[in-house]
Amino acid sequence: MNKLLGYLWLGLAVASCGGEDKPIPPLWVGPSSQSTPAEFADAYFVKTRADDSRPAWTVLDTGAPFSLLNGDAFDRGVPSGIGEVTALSLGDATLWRVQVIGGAGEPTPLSDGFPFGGIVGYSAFRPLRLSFDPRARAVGIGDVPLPEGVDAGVSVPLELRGGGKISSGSIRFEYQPSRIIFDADVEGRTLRMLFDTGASSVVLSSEIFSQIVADGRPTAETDLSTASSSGTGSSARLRSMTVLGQTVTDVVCVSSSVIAPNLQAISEELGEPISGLIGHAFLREFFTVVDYPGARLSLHRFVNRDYVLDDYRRVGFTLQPSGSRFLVHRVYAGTAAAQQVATGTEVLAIAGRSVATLGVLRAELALRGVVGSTREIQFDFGTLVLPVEEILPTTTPP
Amino acid sequence: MLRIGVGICGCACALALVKSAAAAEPERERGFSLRLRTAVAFPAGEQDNDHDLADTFGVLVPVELEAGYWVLPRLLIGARGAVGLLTVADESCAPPLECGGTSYRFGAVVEYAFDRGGKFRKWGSAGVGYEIARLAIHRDSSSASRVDSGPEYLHAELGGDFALGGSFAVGPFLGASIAEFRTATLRQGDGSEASYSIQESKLHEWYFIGVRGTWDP
Repeated sequence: MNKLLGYLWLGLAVASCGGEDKPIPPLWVGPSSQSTPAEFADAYFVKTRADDSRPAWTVLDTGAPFSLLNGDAFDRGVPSGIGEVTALSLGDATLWRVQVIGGAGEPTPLSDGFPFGGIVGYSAFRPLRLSFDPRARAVGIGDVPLPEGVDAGVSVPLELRGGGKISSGSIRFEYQPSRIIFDADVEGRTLRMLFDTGASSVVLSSEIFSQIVADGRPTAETDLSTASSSGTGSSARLRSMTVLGQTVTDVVCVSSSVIAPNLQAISEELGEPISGLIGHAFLREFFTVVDYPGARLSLHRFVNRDYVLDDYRRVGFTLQPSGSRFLVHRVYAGTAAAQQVATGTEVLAIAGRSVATLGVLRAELALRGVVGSTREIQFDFGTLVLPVEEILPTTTPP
Repeated sequence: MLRIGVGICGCACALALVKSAAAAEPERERGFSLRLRTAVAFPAGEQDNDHDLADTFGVLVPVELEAGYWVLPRLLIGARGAVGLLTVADESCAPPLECGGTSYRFGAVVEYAFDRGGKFRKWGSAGVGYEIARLAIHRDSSSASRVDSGPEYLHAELGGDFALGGSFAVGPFLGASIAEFRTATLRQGDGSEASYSIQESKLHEWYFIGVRGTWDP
């Protein structure tokens, strides 16, 4: 599966020189409490417009200090290089004068015929109270009430760290402290990790990952991508992971050389080693509130977790869009799919629904489910009924 | 000096002439004065560390009331207050937003009359004050605003008034102000409000061309 890992800022020159300056945040208008539907496959994609551009999907990424937008995905309103979007609309909320880094590139269709537009980071949503609801697949902006079926949870002060400057030609851009760092207990190890809604998985440094899988637990190869690079890595299941006193078991973690530069850059920015990212494999258990103006962060666990679609309990292949088509990308060895489907095979429909209509995010979710259930999948060569399987088995206690 | 006072029309004028004949510094040459002016002003300089003022605002159309006192025959000291309409620069307002601006300026002024009694009365003034510029954005029924404020270090004008008869005169002027926004107060769409010091604030200017009416009762 093409991991939507990271969407972190990286690949840009960083000079760590934080400071006392506090730029004026964007103004925003919109309903004081709104819930915006988000396309969801391990990250929150929100329909976004730059001025009156066509919509594009952007990831709301608490791990990103600023916003990186693909100007070609929006047909107007996004500057080239460091600049401002005059009116950046996230759902029904519109932010005025948002600093962004505009890039260019062939837009990738994502869902509903709209392309992936990039990441929206702290420079944009700094004045907002955000809530992330993985069950409803929605992002709340403003004073959104807690949904039913969550516990009292935990709430802590929100401390933002880091910051620095980047350069683009003669233009220098100062970004503010935005990193949210927590101590995480990972199978008895206390690690400093970045709270990152833009990371689809829990990410660990290669060193920590190697220590963890040294007990011989199952691993799987996986595809990873960040804002600037892509490659492969390894996945495994953690027995448990605890953040802010909240423990989640069977958490999928990943590690890859693709991510290493990100962790290195964040560590340099913060002046302390950061061992990983607290991503959706952990956060999807919670209704999460990141209240930037109120400087609080809270996690509320869903009492019933039937909504959780584990990314390694799935039909044994992954999808990748190719133009207007969707092709089998990775086939997991030992699965029923491996015996009948080859990489590059075109997938036309899942459970009777056109993949082109579903889009890559919903199609990915449609391949996941309860182990033992089946999916009727129409390929270019015919239709198969394939089981949902355990790709990455649960790690048994030592 | 007495000649200046003679030119002011009306009963007060006649009284001044009488008094000027009786004393070296006639009372008529002192007294209150009111001015009402409007103008079109064009921005220059910087609003904050990241934006030129012209990036945000187009033109300013103020309406200003000034009340002063002639402490010397040619020297007036006064106070002024202005409310203005600010247009918003095209690049600062994009759909789905609607935008508007207002300006408030007040301060003290000293005016020198080069020719207080003629038919065309040249004058110059300088003052200091405080400036507030408010930009509001709207989407549907929601609104938010940013209010920038700071000292106006210098407000200078040169003009000339045509005597209209009675105590009234009207005439054109050119002006410029140099000011600096130090604070920005943001009122967000949810009603929350916060003030920010503008880091590394810079100077900005307004260049005025306008007309004023004067009443020297």
